[in-house]
Amino acid sequence: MLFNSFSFGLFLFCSYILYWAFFNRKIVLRNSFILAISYLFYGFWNAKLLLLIFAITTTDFCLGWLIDKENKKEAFDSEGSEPVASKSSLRKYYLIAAIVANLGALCFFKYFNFFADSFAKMVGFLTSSEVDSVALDIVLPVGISFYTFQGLAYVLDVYKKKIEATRNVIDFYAFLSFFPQLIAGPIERAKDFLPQFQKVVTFDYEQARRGFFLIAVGLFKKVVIADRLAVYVDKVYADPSSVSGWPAVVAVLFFGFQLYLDFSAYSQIAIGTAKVFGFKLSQNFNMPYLATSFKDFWARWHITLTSWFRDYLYFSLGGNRKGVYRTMLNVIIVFSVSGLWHGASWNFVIWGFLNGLFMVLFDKVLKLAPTTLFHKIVSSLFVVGLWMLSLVFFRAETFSDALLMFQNLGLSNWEGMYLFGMDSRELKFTFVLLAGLMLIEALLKSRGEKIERLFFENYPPVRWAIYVSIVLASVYLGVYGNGSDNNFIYFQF
Amino acid sequence: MGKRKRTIAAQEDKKPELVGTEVQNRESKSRFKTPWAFALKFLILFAVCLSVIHYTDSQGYFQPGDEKNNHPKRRWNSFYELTEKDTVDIIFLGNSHIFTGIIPEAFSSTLGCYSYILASPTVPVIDMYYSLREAFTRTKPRLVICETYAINNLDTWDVTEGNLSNLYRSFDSRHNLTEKLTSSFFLFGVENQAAAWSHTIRNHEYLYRDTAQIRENMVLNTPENKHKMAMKNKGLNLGRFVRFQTGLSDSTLKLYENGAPCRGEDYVCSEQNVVYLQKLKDLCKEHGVDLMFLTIPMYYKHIDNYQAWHDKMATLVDTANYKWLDLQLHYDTTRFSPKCFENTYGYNQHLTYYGALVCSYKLANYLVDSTAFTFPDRSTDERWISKMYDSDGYFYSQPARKNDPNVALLCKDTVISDLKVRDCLVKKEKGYQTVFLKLQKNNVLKSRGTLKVNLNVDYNGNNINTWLDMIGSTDVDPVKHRLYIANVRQGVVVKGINAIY
Repeated sequence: MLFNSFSFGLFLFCSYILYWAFFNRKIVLRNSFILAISYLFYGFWNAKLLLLIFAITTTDFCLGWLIDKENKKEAFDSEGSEPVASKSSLRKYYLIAAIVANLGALCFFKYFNFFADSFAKMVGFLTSSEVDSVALDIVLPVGISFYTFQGLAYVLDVYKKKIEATRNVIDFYAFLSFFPQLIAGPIERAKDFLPQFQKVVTFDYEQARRGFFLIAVGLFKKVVIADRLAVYVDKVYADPSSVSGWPAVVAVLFFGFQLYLDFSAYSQIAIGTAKVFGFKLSQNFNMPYLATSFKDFWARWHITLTSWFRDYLYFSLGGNRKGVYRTMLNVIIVFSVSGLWHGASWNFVIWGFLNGLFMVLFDKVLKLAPTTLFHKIVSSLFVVGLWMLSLVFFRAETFSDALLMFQNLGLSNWEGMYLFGMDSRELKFTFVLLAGLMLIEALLKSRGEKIERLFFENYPPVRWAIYVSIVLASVYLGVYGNGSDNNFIYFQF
Repeated sequence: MGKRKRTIAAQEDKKPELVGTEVQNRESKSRFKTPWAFALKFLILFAVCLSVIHYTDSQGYFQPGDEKNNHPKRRWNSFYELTEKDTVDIIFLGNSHIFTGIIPEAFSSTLGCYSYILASPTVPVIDMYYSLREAFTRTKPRLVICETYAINNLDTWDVTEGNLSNLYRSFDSRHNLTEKLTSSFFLFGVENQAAAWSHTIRNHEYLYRDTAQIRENMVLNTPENKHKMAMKNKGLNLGRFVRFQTGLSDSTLKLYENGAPCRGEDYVCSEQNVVYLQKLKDLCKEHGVDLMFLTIPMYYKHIDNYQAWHDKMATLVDTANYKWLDLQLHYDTTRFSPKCFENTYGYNQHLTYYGALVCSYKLANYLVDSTAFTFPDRSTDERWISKMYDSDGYFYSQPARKNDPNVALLCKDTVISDLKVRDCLVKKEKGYQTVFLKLQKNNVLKSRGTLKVNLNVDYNGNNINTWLDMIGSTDVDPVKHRLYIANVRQGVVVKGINAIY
């Protein structure tokens, strides 16, 4: 059930009515309902895989609870001045068990074939012979990368004593399977998100209104812009050898925007949906294409994942406390792992590695630039330009396809631009949309709060006209229908 | 920060208490900020957007290019028109095979009743089922004839784009809103609902890809053009759609030497079709309407191991309880010659006009000779005559009106040369005249192929008796008589018939 589908609209409306009519008054009832609809939502993809999410949730809940028990015993024992070494190692075992369970499931379902294939190739290379890899017919469970990271973060937070483990099974199951963010995030932290399941929520009209607006804007971004860009990008990347000059440049540019719009649209719909149900999810994007350095970029792009890697991997590796070179290495390691997290392919690892490298190499230089508007613009173009080029590895099917794309970039073959699913009119319209989008983002960056207040507090007819326009624009200008691939890109991760 | 908070708290303390109308205003405002008010506003927004979409739908701006040739729509429009005052006695169901395989005008004329084809291209049984349900709200037929080619492997929830557009078109052509509402969720997956109900949603990409089509639609849907179109489509329409005039060519026939394009053992029926076939049978039973099955033939070399297909179909049809005329199995090489079939060598093959004519009479004779189905004889009913008169094949089976300036009735229900003559008429055509002689089937004839008829004619002011060779028709085989046809030149006035030899 995709967010941009008719069935999701129906599901959302029915859930909303039932939720506010019957289930919002008592916490147990409310969370049970959320759990039920979340499992129903997930079951639409593959009901069998509900067992996996159930098993991982149960494991995280039990191990979190056991660690917490040990934490409390430790605190009690240290008060009584008794030795604590044996207890602390038990905590560690529980943590290792949680890491093995979460990452084990992730590795098996997502990376088994990749590792097996890479291993076979390596052996083949070393022995100069052909080695067949063992490939299993494994279905990649939707959202596994997200919910395992959210569950693992919970256990790690309990281990680090940042939070206490919850004793409420239903709260925890609802927390880990909350349908708006189950499939592709935002990856929430238990510290901020779990308490929301432990208090009665009353209907907040303003939040609901903002939520609906986010959903509408998200749909527009996905259906009208991102999916239109996808038509062009898919055609170019289907056979990179047949593309050269401007079409390749346009495809690189379009994919940069497609990925951003696709994923930020998903996040907006997720946040908006949560708002309608009285929950607050973390912001996942904050106008990343206006970033003036790579650090700034990553503080704005997929914020919840970046902060996850920062908190649980970068800091664990020592962060920036072990000298300049070790910091650089840590950054590159974290980005490479983040690349691997995105997909089981060396292309993603290269993409991650490149972004780590960019941060290490260029951020110091970019910081030296004066903070005038002109320099900001140049810095932004530089950061976003390199980011978009790195995305060639993200989008290309194979390493050689990515190299082909780089080879074929150039400023020739202007007429060839119209051969990839868009005629000149459609292409112009798309560029106008993208320019408009960037303009709106720039405006929001400087006067976001004022615009928001103006929009939500004044002129209902104008507001309604905008609502209607957004919905109708999605209907009339969107790319959808039989034959269109309308999946969100991040669903594959 | 702390200072600011304290200031805000102090300001809040200073706020005066709300009294009178202010309290009322706040209460009334909060009344509009409940989950229900929010849902209501959402529904209003939804309705506003729907009405805009409905407007562009009603204006036809997003109609596909071949809308002028939308025969499913014309078929349903005519069906509603016909059933306003008349009862359809036989309904044909199926896909393109039936509407190219039967000529309902000729078929109705020979049986003296109304028959109608309610079919759309490429549709499976579920579409037939819901079409029949809607048809039953308009008329109660005596017999429903279901063509078996539609009992195939299609499943409406799992179809390709091309097939889906045919299903949309069929759905769109139907009139009964209740029936459409009840069938919509069974016919289409949830994601296809909006497209099923709206041209705009289905073809919205015209805004990018085909603005010329939108402009054309705008012109096409002006009231004057709509009126013109309605006038053009006026006249008897019993649901047929002739697509193919020429039969198999020599080069296509040669391809058959390499083997048949279809194999009987490959036949598979989708689960959905099995379920809806049973539902179709139950529906007919529920309404007390007879049901039978018909297989429109393809060229005899078209299917290899046809018996395998036939056996599987026989189980589905349930031949113990339902009649099945399988014209593929009882191949008739004389009648179903290569000129009967669409000139194609592929999986699917339709009948030509000629083939459809043969098929129609074969079916009519089968119904009369081999089944107990009975149909009302409307051939003397003035309403039926006025509707059917001069339609395709009418004069092959029915007599002319006495005062018709274009058709002269020479004799009716008489005996000439010891032969029982149902009627004999002369019809003016473009550049010549056709003489139809209908002899009752129980006549004992020396030869069925040709006859000599002695006619009394006026030619160039002279009244003479002359012999005319008439050929017994093989493709046209009316149920009540044998038809003999001959052409005579223009200017000859046939006055009467003297003898038949």
